[in-house]
Amino acid sequence: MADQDKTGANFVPTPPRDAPVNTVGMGAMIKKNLFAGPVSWVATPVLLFIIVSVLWHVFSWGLLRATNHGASNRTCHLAERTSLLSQHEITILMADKLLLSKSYQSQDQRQFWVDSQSTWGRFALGTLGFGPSYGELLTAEIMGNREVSRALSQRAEILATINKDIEFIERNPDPDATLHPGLANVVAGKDLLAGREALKAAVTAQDPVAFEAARSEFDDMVHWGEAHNGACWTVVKRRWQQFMYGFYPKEQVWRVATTALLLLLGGLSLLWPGRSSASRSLSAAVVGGLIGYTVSSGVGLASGGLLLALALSVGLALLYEQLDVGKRGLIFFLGFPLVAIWLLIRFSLPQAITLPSTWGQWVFGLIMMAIWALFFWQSWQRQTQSHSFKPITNLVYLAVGVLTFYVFLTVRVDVDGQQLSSFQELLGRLRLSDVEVDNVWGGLLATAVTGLTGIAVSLPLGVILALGRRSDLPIVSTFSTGFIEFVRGVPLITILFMASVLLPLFLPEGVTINKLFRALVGVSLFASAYMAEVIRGGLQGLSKGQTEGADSLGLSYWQTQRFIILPQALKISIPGIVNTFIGLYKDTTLLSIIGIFDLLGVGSRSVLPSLEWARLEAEVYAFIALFFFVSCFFMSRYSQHLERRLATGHEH
Amino acid sequence: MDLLSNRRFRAIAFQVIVLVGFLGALTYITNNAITNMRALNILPKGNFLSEPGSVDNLSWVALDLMTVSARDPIWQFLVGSAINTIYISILGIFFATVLGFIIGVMRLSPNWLVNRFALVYVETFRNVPLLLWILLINAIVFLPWPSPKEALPIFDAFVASNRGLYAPRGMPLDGFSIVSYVFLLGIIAAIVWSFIARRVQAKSGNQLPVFWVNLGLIVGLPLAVFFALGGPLEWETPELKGFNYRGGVKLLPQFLALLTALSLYTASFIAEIVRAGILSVNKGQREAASALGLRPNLVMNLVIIPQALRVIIPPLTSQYLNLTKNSSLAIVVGYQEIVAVFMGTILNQSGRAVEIIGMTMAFYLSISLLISFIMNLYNRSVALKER
Repeated sequence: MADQDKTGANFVPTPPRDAPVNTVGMGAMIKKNLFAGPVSWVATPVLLFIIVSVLWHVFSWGLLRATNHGASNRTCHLAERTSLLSQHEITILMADKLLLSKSYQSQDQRQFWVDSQSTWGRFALGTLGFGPSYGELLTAEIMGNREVSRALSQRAEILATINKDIEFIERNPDPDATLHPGLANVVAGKDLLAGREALKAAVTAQDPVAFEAARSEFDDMVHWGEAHNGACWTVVKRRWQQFMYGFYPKEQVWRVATTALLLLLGGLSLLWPGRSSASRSLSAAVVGGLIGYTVSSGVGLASGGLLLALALSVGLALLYEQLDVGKRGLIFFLGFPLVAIWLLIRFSLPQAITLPSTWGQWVFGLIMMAIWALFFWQSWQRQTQSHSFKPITNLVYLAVGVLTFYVFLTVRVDVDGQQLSSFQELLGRLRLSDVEVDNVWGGLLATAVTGLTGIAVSLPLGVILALGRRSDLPIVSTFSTGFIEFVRGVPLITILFMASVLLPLFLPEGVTINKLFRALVGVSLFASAYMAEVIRGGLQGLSKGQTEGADSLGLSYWQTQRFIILPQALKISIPGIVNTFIGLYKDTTLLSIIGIFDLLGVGSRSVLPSLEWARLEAEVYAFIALFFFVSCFFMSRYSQHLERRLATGHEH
Repeated sequence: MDLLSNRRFRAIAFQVIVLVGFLGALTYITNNAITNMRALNILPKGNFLSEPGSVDNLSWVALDLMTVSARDPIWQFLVGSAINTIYISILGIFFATVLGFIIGVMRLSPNWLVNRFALVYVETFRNVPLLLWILLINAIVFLPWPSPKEALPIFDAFVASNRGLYAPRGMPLDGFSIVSYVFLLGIIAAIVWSFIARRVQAKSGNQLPVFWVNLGLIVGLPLAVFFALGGPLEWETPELKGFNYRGGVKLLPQFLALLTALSLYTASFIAEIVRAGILSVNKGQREAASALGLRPNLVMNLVIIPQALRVIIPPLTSQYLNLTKNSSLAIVVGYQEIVAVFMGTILNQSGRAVEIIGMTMAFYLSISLLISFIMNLYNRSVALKER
């Protein structure tokens, strides 16, 4: 023992050493991740170069050099053209200067050169107005300089365009459009010829100081133009309304916004069911307030507007607190489509309910109060049952009660000499006009309607088709398989053509349906075939024991599907379902081909063909592409989140 | 009521109802269609395919093998545009596959920059509609090309102008046919040689150098013959004549835009399929192969890829089908394929909607079936051989 103690005492452990230098720290991390092998040594710099140069180009074009000034593409192009023209001027005059320093100065010699050699020069001489001078021609001819001849041939053209641009900008001043300071300079001192003459005079007089001064002004012009020849976002700014709503009447746009907010409300309740009730109610209150605000400002409701916003806000918050996810979902799925159709096409409810006099107001007010009392009573009951007193909730209820009383029973507004309650005033103003669908709906509105309808129709239809394909009944499975394989075998564009050209032929005489609806039919059928295959994959992923177990419990076919098979199959096919949704959403761009003004259709068939926005393809398409990228990216991220949350964790 | 709960009876009754409903709907639709078509005077009659069309000239875009001019019968437009569809589909499938495999493998690279690059590529291309890619690529790359007068030749051989991309074309002289025969022979010899090599390996386990020998047979031998004959090929370069370039091979900008967009877009989907396929191979396979002493590239070629292909082939097939169907979006840039020419222009001028849409759909259905058939054959050859 003692020996051991002794040896133990004498034992001196080697002090811990640092890890080898080349395995820790920044350098090692870079080495491991970026320069691990010979391939990496080549790949990393090459990729780095590609990434940096692409990013730089996009960044410089889309942000650094971009403008959003003015009222048409001419303001954007002016910078580019000015810089180009200035460059040409400099090229030409430098050549002139060079020429002057040489000996070809006598008029005879010039004439000789022009006559004998330059047929092109004689042709150019014939063009009036901006025809190049002998000296310029000689320069081009003698030096054989392609750039000079190019500058000569293009200068006149560009100058003419610039003058037209300036004229156009002056003729069509946009009230709220501001010109970029540099651009304003060009427009103000619009005679670029003056600068050119000065430069030329300096060359002829062989005055180096004047030449340099004149030249530096042109140089400034070139630099300024080059710094502003990027993307022209003016088009997106000016046509924003059209990109969003198509040709929906401007004063009715609030109806679209309200529908969108209602959708947001439904989305909040369904897509994030896991949130705490407080945050859910709060978000409902916020959205409700927004809806109230949009509606009241849309219909021009002055006095009742704030009250409406408050009432909707608090009311929705309370409604959200009362109902569980299932009930909210039910209300949403049944109510939203109806409300949306009413709001977007025609809101005829107020026309049906006309309140002639004060007694109507009293009836409404009393009904509202009764509903309030019912809710309050329910909440109170719950509180007493669970022995948890909620002071804030009760306060809110009381406030709502007072507000309801105030809004429906007491407030009077003077409308055309009649004393009306604010609620009556609102109803009166909600007598909305009809909005046509064809050629009026467009932009994001049409895209969203198509996408959402497609999603809402294709999921149930896909389930039915998938079940049909797997059915034991030969006729049912033949029909389902035939339909699925046919639709999957042809491009969407042919189906859309079929829907837009052939569908009217299949209907009885005299029945017409609008273009957007025909497209909706095509898109929905197309998506349901793909959906059916995704769901079939999910159905095949279940073991046979599930069906057999359900059978042995004595469940009927539909009970088996409803309670045993579909819940599991749908869950495992969520990634595929979301992918199909994303595909469907992206496919809505094809509507532009069959003449519907969807988001892309507005861009390619309304904005770009117009005179003001011609030749801005890159900007318009980049904007739409960015929009699709953001929405699709978030959709796919959401699906991954959903997948994780729904994973019940019995796989591993 | 015993009958109603009889399973067999219910099955039959249900199907009869479905069938009757379907036939009823079909009759109703057909009746409506006939009434409407009679009213519009577009009932199918006569053989409209042999009537003259009156559209722009149509050429087999890349190779000028076939040109249909304005007054030719409609069936020639159908054939020509169908060939254009097939042509761009084959090229698109080739480029998309190559690029997709490269990006898919890059996605699995241990190099951080490389796999992030692949990820960004995939996300960017997948999340934006193909139609927008076609328009965007056309707008950014091809629209700004200068007019032929201003276009500058690159190396005196290529010209990029808004009329098209011109490249030199090889004009065969006497004796070039010998080279092409040698090339064909080389391919046959290469197939035979790989067959022999496989037999030898199966018998003795010795590996014969297949790759290098085949490379020599297919590329080296014809090249040698070519130079031995003194290079019987003359290059015709494009030259500016009047307002346009003449001579050489001309690739239309809309063709290039469509091909680029189709390949880049589909490659992003193929990359994900390839990545999933490679990841699906059990880690133990790689470790076992390394334990046997195989070099990394042999591990990849002999162990990982053959197993990954089983997972890759079915979804890859559907991507090929998608690419073929997506080539119909050419209508927005004006590449003359079947939807743009036959279902667009010809439908508009002849008004034969039912026949034309039906024929176009039938064309796509048969292409789909053909690709599925070919890929199924290939799939069978890589599938797990169970003995």
